[in-house]
Amino acid sequence: MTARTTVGDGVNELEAALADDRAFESWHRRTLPPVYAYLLSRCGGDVTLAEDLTQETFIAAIDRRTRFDGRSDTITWLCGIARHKLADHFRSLERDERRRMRIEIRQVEVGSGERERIGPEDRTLIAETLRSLPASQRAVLVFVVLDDLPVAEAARLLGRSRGATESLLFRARESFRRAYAGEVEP
Amino acid sequence: MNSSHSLTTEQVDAILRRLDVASAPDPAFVVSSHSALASRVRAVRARDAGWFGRLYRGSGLALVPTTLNRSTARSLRLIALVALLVLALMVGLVIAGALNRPTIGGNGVLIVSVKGQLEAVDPLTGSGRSILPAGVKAESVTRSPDGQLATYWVNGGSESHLFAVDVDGSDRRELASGMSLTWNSSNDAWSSDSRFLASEVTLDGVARILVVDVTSGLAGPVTPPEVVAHNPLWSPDDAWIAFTPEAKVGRGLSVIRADGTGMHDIGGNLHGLDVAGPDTWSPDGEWIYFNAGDAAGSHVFRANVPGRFNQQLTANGLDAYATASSPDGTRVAFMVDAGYGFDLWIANSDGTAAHRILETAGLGGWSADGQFILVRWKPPDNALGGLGTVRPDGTDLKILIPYDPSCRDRWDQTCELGFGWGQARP
Repeated sequence: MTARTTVGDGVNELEAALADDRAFESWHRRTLPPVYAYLLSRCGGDVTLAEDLTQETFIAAIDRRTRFDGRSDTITWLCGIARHKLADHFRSLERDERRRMRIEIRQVEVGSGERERIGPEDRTLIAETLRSLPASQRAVLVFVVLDDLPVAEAARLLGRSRGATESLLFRARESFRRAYAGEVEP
Repeated sequence: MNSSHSLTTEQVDAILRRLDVASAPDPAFVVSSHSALASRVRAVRARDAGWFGRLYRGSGLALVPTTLNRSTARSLRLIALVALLVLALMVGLVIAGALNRPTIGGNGVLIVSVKGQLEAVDPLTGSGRSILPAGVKAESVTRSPDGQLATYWVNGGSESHLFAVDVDGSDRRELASGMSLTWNSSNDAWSSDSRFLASEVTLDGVARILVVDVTSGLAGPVTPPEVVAHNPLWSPDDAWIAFTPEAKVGRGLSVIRADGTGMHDIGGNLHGLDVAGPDTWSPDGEWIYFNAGDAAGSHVFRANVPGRFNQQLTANGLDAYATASSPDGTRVAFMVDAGYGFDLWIANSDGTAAHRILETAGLGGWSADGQFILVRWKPPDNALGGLGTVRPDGTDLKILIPYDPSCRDRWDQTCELGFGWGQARP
């Protein structure tokens, strides 16, 4: 029989976790790994950044505890907060890039060989390629491709119009394709 | 042409999705994350147990009660909303009544320790009243930005003790009690929401930045034990604390999140000059004002926080110290060593239009409305001066706390042992 989650279960769980030191430790140990894993994969494997954003996520969750209505489980709710933290991070990166006036697509050093035969060991290369993209392109790929969000929802997170986000997504896929192939950006 | 360049959109997406795999966090991170969050949860618990927390949660606005159907929950919300509107109306009437009474000015009371006695001083008239019982020697005084609280240190023996008291003298209590620490003579800094105080203390022989929750009294160091840290300063959004790390190569300028994560340098290349300490943070969060120098002299700088570079604001001919950004971020006040003592100068926030506004005056920061600068003024004729205010154009100098002749042997000829007006000060 499948356990059924009802509206409010998550609220009770969160309230219980915050009511007692031991309960909080147990809840934290259970919920932190999936949130961290969510962020690490979207930070291009940057462990320090993933840890920072994870911590910010939990701080925000504690501060916004009363806004949780229990319609999702707590991990889904935490990942929603994490997604906003990630969007903030990408926006901050994008501002930095604009300030420095050097938005560019760095070429990733790759060896020769067929890319079609990608195995799990090539995740580092994929992460590096993703990390080499401008922040805005990285963000749209993370939200639309990895998180499977509708373009409209990604646009809201990124503070752009839907049309601009669709255009950005097109350019992001193109940039990833080029960077993955090791081509020099013209 | 590389074969991967011909990847289809679906293939690109499939490659990206390979990143989405489970990965375990470092156990050390799990432990440090938990210890940082545990104190926050305790503070939240304490707050929720308070009357406002109970009212808020009991109102039905905070959570959807699990045992009620949606229409009942909606009705409860409506009732709670009406109750809150009535409450807001009553609060408005109380505030309107308070506004009709004579006030002490929009900047609130100035808290000063005179010979160790803590006083709340009306900055308009200079009249003061003691807010602590006699016999308590209060040092390093601050006042919260909301004007409600004062804090002070009592130093005795090998330890220091931090206290908070309402500005009317009520509800005196010790903060960070049970911690064995000594205060390091640096200015304490308030978060803008008046909830946290950051202080430089020595813990286990190392200078560290301590953050104190003034509501619960709980405290903990935010800088790691391997970093010698001085002079804390909160960011305008209360998310970061700037400080001066001290290393063998000199003193720099760094920031760290209030939960102890994300520490990094932001001072840029200072060409071997030592940072005295972050003085004030611009209201937009972009700049931190400070002075840095060496044996040859000192200059006023500002560091760009996101860009991690610095700009020298004062000319090389000026020996400039102790900066304070105006609350609106348009101007900066600082002190210049004129040989006979310090003069008070002011400039635009980018260092342009720098000029002297008052001779023989030390800088004590700005008023919250930007209309006054607090000064320690010593007249050129060596007569007694005092702690007072002056307009940013150098006019309307007013002494609030005249110096006491019995304190002439002190370097600044004052009996004052610290003051606070709710703003960051050098």
